[in-house]
Amino acid sequence: MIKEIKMPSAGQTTDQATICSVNVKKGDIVKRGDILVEAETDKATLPVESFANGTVIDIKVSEGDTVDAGTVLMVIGDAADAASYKAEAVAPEAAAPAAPAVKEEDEYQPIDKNAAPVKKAEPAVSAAAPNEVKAMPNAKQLAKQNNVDLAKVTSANGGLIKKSDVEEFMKNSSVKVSDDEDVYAVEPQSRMRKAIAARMLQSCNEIPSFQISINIDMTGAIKLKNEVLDAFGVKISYNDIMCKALAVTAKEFPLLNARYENNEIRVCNHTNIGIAVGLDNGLVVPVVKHVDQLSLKDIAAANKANIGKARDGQLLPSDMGCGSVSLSNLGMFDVDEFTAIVNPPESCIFAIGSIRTEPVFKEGVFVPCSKCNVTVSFDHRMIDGSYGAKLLKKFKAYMENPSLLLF
Amino acid sequence: MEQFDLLVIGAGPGGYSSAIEAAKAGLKVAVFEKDNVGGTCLNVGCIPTKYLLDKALAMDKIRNLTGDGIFKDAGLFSYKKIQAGKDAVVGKLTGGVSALFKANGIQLVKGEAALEKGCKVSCNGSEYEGKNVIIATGSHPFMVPISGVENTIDSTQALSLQQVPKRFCVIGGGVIGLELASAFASFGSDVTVLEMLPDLLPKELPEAVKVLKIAIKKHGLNVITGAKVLSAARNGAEKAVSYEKDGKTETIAADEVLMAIGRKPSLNGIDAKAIGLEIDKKGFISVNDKMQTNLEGVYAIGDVCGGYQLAHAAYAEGEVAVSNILGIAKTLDVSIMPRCIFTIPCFSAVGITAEQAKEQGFDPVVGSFNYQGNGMALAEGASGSVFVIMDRKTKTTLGIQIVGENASEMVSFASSEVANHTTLDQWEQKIVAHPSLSEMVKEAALDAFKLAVHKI
Repeated sequence: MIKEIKMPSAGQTTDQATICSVNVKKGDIVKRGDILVEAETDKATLPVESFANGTVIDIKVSEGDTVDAGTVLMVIGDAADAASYKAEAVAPEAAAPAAPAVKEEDEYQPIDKNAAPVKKAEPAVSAAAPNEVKAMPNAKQLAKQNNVDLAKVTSANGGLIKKSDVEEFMKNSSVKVSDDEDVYAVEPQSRMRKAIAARMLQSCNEIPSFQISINIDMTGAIKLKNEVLDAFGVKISYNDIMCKALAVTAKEFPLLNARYENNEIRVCNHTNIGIAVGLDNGLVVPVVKHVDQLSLKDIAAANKANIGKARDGQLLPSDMGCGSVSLSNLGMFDVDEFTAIVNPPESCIFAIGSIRTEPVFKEGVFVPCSKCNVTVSFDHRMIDGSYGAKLLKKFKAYMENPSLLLF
Repeated sequence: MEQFDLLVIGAGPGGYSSAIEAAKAGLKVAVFEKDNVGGTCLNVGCIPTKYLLDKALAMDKIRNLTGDGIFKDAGLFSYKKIQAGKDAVVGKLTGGVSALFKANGIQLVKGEAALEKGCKVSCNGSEYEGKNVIIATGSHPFMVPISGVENTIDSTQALSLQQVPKRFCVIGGGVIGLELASAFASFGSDVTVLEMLPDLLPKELPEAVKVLKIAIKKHGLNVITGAKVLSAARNGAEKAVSYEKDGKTETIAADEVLMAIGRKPSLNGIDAKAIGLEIDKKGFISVNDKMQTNLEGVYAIGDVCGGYQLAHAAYAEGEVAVSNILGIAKTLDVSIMPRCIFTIPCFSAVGITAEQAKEQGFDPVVGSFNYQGNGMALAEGASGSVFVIMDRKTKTTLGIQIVGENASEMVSFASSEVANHTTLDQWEQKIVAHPSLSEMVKEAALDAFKLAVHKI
């Protein structure tokens, strides 16, 4: 039986995804669970797995295509299916008119004569039959963005011109070199890059934020970390402890659980905390949900899993965008302190610096003390200065005396 | 052999209107048409051109409103959909003519007719005999046999181009050439018009032609006069038109080249020599002012007998022919033939020019009124000028020429004033609705005697 592999829904915010790689070709034998296609949404890379065993009969998408949820990506079946599928496919194609149909968007041109004309498709491509496309859509797009003449690009495998062929051509080509000193290259933006840009701009445009800095004595937290390692052999991070302290603080300061959505302050019943994970090509913020119901051990495990998934590009859209607080920790880069931008629609973001040994004046003498600077950006639409300050005082108390978290 | 009162060859505007008129008067009528009913005008002439020009005008209006900041942006248009819309309108109109034939009991014979001696017509192997015959076979584009003429298109092909040529070269600055040039300029083509004569429209009032020339230039038409076209070469998809001007040879590149230098009478099936039909020097059928040919009972109307090659001229000539067939003596008065050019902006004229008036012994005085002085024109963003030619002595109206929006509508008002030789006194008594562009016609007439109210 012919099985159609469809694009799964990519999450609540978007039903659109861009195909970033097609891992199989026609005729390949695939097993259940094989990753056939990887699609990139504005939030994550989504692997599309095969739910069936069989042969790839038809591939309906190529790299760079934008697809909606439900779009048939691939057709899988056995040998008999392949024969019958062909028969099905040929009939409508033969009935279709021979003249290449003009695409709806190509049909329109600007009324304003001074406006840039709607670019016509490459003549060679438009003249060719739809099946004989010379270049991958993403290759065409990259070529267009960089004014690269695709006719000059040769395909490495002698077939379709791929994005990598265009990149290679651009690297080798000297067309860009000119006497003009202001030469620049346009960095292609991934969906993630665009999403980050849009979200951060939205934050700056919409959120009246203010910052409060606190200085936490980490002695207690360090002790806890070591004790857990000794007692259970589990390595927990300071982020995990902060998550736990935040969840407990939120019981008294519920606005920590708030999100500003549709002009409403929506206070969640649970504490959902995002951890910013830096990647080579961007940034993701996977969320651990219901932190208030998790033990420190569970929190540590969840964060670890999330970070792993984030680095492997395996996060699902549902793993993100559902928090009310984010933690951004740059301590490992020896950053003393910094401010972060609130991740909308969350109520605040914690910017955590490195743990430094500082002299503290105690009982008449300076003693060394492990200190950590935390700067919190609050959305002033939800949280005022005093509320924020009181909340942080509590948070600081829990961090400095982790045993209180048991209470 | 089937007997008829009247056989009409050709179902264009002249042919179909004559047939209907005759049928309404009780005659038994057959019409022969080898192609679609409606003729050039409905199928490949006035109506499709007007459809394109209407969309072109709308786009100009949008551009102006966008320029004023009233529209945020001009948006996109589909030329393909304009073509589809044009075909739909043509289909509707030709269908309407067929329905009128049916309703009036006119027999429509589809096929190429041949006129024989003695008011007989053969078509599709059958013979038809009529008491009278009207030849209304019309005309077709005349293609000058320059080198590379096969690289040019005629007006019929230009009307059904499926995409807007980037560079559009028009050979011939007459009515057809200027109209299509105007439309394609609006659709975004770079348009060049090559006219052999030293000036455009030499038979019209020079003042009005000057206003028109400035306006169409502003609209984007590059008009080169005194240009004798030598050849139309082709290199791949690109064409190159060579022409001679002031002794120098120039070449312009184009994506499409329209040849619109005039129309030739269509005489297929009319073997003039064999039946003894008189043809004039230019190849048109010779007729008198009753539209009669030299053959007993045979009339000719429309483009095939030359004169004004306009649909409304054919209608008028058809009326004259049918009246005479019915025994009511009637002659054609071409002095009140309105002449329209649907350029952007359009041009219209009726009656005589100042120069022609002088030749006829009048003492002409020309009054004018600019669209800028008219409230309606300002409200609409219209521009242009109205000229009224009056006789100084008798103070009667001799001719009216209008350049600007709605000139083709106002000319009907103008026509009756010329036909009635309206005097200055009568003009003064006329009440024209306000605000309207027609007010300018009265103002221009009064201006001939420096009496215009809204002019310094």
